[in-house]
Amino acid sequence: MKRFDVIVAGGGHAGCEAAHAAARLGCATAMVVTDRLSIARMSCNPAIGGPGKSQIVREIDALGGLMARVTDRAGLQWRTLNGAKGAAVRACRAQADTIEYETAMREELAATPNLSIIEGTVKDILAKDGAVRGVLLLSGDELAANAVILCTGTFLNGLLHTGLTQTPGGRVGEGPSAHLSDSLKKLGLTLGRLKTGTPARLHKDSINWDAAQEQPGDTPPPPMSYFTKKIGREQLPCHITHTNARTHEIIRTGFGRSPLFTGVIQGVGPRYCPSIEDKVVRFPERLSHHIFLEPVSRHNDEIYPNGISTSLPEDIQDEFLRSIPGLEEVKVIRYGYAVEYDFVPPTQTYPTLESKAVGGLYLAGQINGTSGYEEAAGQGLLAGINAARKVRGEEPVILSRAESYIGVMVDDLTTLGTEEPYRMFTSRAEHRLVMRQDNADQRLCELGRIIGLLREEQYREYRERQGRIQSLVKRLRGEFLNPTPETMTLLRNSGLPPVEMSIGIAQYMKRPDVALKRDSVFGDLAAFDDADIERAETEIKYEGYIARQNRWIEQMGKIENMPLEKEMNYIGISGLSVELQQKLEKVKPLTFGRASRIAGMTPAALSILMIHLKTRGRNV
Amino acid sequence: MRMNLDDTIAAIATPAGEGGLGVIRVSGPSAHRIAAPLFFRKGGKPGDPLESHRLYFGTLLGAAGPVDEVCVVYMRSPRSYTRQDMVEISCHGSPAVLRRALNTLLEAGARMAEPGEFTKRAFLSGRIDLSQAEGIIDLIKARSEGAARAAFGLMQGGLSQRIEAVRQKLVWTLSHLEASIDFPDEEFITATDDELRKTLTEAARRLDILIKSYDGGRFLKHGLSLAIIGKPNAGKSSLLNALLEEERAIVAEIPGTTRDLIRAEGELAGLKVELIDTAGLNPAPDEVEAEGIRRALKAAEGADAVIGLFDGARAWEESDTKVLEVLKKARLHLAVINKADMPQLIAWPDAALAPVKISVKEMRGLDQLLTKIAAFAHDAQALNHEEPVVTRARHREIFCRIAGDLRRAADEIAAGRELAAASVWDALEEIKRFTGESYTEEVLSAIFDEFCVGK
Ligand SMILES: Cc1cc2nc3c(=O)[nH]c(=O)nc-3n(C[C@H](O)[C@H](O)[C@H](O)COP(=O)(O)OP(=O)(O)OC[C@H]3O[C@@H](n4cnc5c(N)ncnc54)[C@H](O)[C@@H]3O)c2cc1C
Ligand SMILES: Nc1nc2c(ncn2[C@@H]2O[C@H](COP(=O)(O)OP(=O)(O)OP(=O)(O)O)[C@@H](O)[C@H]2O)c(=O)[nH]1
Ligand SMILES: [Mg+2]
Repeated sequence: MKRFDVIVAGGGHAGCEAAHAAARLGCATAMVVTDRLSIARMSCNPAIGGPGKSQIVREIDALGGLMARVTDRAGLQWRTLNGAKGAAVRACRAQADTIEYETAMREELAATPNLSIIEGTVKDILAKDGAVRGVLLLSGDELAANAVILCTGTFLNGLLHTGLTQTPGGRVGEGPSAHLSDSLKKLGLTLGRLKTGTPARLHKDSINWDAAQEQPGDTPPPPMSYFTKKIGREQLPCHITHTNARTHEIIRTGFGRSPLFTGVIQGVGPRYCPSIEDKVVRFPERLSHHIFLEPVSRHNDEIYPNGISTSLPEDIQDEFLRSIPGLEEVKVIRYGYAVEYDFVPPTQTYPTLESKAVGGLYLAGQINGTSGYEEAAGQGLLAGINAARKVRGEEPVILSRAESYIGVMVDDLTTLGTEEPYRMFTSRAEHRLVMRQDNADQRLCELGRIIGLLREEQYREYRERQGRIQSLVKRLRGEFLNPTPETMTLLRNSGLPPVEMSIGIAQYMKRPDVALKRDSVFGDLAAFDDADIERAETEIKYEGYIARQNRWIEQMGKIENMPLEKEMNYIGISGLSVELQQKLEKVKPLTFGRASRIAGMTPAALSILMIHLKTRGRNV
Repeated sequence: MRMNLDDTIAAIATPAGEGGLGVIRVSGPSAHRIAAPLFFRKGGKPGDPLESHRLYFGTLLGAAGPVDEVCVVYMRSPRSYTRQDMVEISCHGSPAVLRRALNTLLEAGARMAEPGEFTKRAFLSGRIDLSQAEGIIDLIKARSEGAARAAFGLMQGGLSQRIEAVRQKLVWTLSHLEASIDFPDEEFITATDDELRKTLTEAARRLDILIKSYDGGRFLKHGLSLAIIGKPNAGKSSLLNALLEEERAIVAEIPGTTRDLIRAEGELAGLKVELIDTAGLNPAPDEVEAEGIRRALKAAEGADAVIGLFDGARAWEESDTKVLEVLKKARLHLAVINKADMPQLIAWPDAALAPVKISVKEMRGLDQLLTKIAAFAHDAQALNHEEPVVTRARHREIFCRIAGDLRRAADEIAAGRELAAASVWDALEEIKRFTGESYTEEVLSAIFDEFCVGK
């Protein structure tokens, strides 16, 4: 029997980060994946990033993970969203060349020491005395390990729906993971069921591109990774078209054969990423919806029509697509479908992503009820880190809500659970103004280095950048603008508002209509790159807000970090409602902060908990 | 301060001293288990289970025999004041009997309640919010009709409802702010900057109204101190007596009758008022008068409101000018001309300040004067009984902070919706402090320490 330190089941976005992290941290790691060629496959849209998500990708980057770097190698378009809004909510979004992405990721994994990739399907988790021992493959082979990370995505009892036709599968063309659900149940885990969907893929040459509006990438393209110097490749444009009243009418004629509306699909779908039939029902007043036509790869002819995910029958899909401007003659390469799958409601895992039922068994990605590549990758990274640390006998890493979106996500999942596929939004983060995509390095690079994932040269680069930014901020804080004729001319020439009297530059920069520009009144900026300048500007503009949020974080920190025992028994604590006792027992929060966020938790209940702990402490 | 809800507490709920009735309250999971065996109902036996919300008559048994004939009511959780199981026992109102009855319960396993602990349990169990708990204290302590009315409104959730309406507006605003941030590429139609600004300033204005009611609210709760100043013989002491409907101060034809301050409490127009009669402002005082005048001026400075009393039967004099000057320094003031029953020699010099004309002798114009005094406490909207009034400094401070957050948010929308959102989130946090959804131990202690035992 082969022995490993860590086994990662699944080669999706969670699996890749998990395997890379565990292996780079020195653990003999095996990635078991049904089909080697499906590694890092993008099941749905060919894009990485966006609000809330790009922050996660940058955090992965700062901790030493792969996603940002691979995206920059394999992208075909880069844009900054919310560019007109403030830095806290600015988000980078890249269109990925899905074929290049898979290749680049395979190369990264191949170059990772200690990592073996094994083709096979995990059938059973082997455990003894509440601790994981390894896995059994469909082939009958057994692999032994001290930690197992499950990253099997949408494959657990996956069922694909197109119209009323159903095919068992994890995603189109790939069979489901039929046995693993039972294995998990045997280990004492409870499963739930969710649903998600994807649109048809269209043939590039069958689209009349003149009828659609072009949407080019930004120039220069904003890289996803802090460590990408420059993106040299030519970008491809996306296009925008719209549905119309006729489209919606055709869609309605298919409701009788919709698995969604006939009750065939039981799993709960994502509210924020609804299918087109859902949108038609939920927003009847809207006569038109956007569609983004996104190229899937430079190396094939597929177009992904973002915004019209559907599980309607094929004939209806054909018909409604052809009612859309530009798609009159469209040829479908693959029809849209919905997938229903089992997930493990995540209140059954600790914020380390280790399951409560089985020591050493970690869960990451869509199996935890999330949706999205970035969410999956963030969890994969954390699970990989913690599995390796457990094997090596080190303290686990828990990310807090005040330092990262990954922390927010994992805290939400493990304390609140989720009823629908969980997607990240900036509004989920209460400390949004201090947790920006531009400062993930400042938040996490130190930690990345301590953990041992961030490479020395990356860390050095981070320190240098940090030094440059701090020196610039310091310089700007120390300087003043006087309304001399030269200054006024400079201001006018660079399109900046005039000053009435002498004013500190930092003060001046806080005005909404002032931007930190080169070749103006802000002195010599030649030593700083654009990203430095943007960061310095943000630090100054947000100063007051950052101070306010930091004060808050500090205040909350006291109760937030007060520890609760893992083994604490909540059943029978008098004064707590039975419902809360059960919730607490299920979640087993590790801190008071986490306990306070459990649904239905009241200040009184928290106080009772505190008393219970204090009085108990006295008895022992 | 105790926070646990698991033990069962008991206390005498009625005031100390003799009374027709005295009530003992018991609350907690074991209330029934403790109280029922001590109660021997007519036609039953000790320990018979009590039905909820039914009044029983019988005997309370102590260790040394019967304690008293009592009425007992058991209120099963959650339909009780604290939302816990509760038992209330009405005894005869003798301090000795009540003490024995309470001891019986304590010996049977109840714990002596701390001040305010019953109400704190009502708050901790989520039956009332923090502001309602504050209303309950205020109601218990209300010393005038107006104070009672304001406290009752607070207890009933009058302010909570206003704040809930504001909260809903903020949630609406936030949903638009957040949607435009998190879905930049999608076609969610969110409210325009102008619409959002309007909602925010409108909400801030609602808070302003509440904040403004605080002065009035404070007078309602703590009473209003009202100093009467004027030259000698204007009729100040007569007015005090007339308002109090008792001969409190000496009245005499001799100028300079009142030499020292006279303070007297009374209720005017539903308002608790402390009236202060002062020495007349004599332009050429002797030594004693001079001290009296010094005190009069100090009293006028310290009072919430001042009445300047002028003698209508005499011509305007230098001392009247002095009175007018002092009067106008007071934030709340009222000019009153007395002796309207006599030929009027006074020439009123200040067009900007309309005096009220009265005759204490003939009791004329006093109603009008009372209305004006009442208006100090109830400004225009507070007179309308439907409008809640802010009576507590804690509430005023929170509302000021919220209004500030909202005005800032309105300003920030142009600079960045994420900034405005941060300020709106701050405001929502403040609202949680108001309702007690988030609190610190110090705040709770400060509030519940005001209570008496048994409430
Ligand atoms: C039809 C569809 C529509 C989607 N729509 C959206 C959307 O609209 N928006 C969005 O954000 N996200 C969407 N997603 C989700 C997105 O693809 C996933 O969130 C993301 O890929 C999850 O990553 P993962 O690593 O958890 O799992 P996956 O990427 O699903 O990877 C699972 C991996 O595990 C392997 N595997 C499974 N079972 C076994 C086993 N027993 N043994 C060995 N290997 C196994 C598979 O071969 C695969 O490599 C959609 C996914 C699908 C399938
Ligand atoms: N005609 C008339 N006489 C009044 C009226 N009010 C008071 N007086 C008389 O005025 C005299 C002075 O009254 P006080 O009330 O003692 O006056 P005061 O302002 O307190 O005087 P000092 O204490 O001396 O400053 C008394 O003789 C009163 O009876 C009124 O309305 N009409
Ligand atoms: Mg007098």
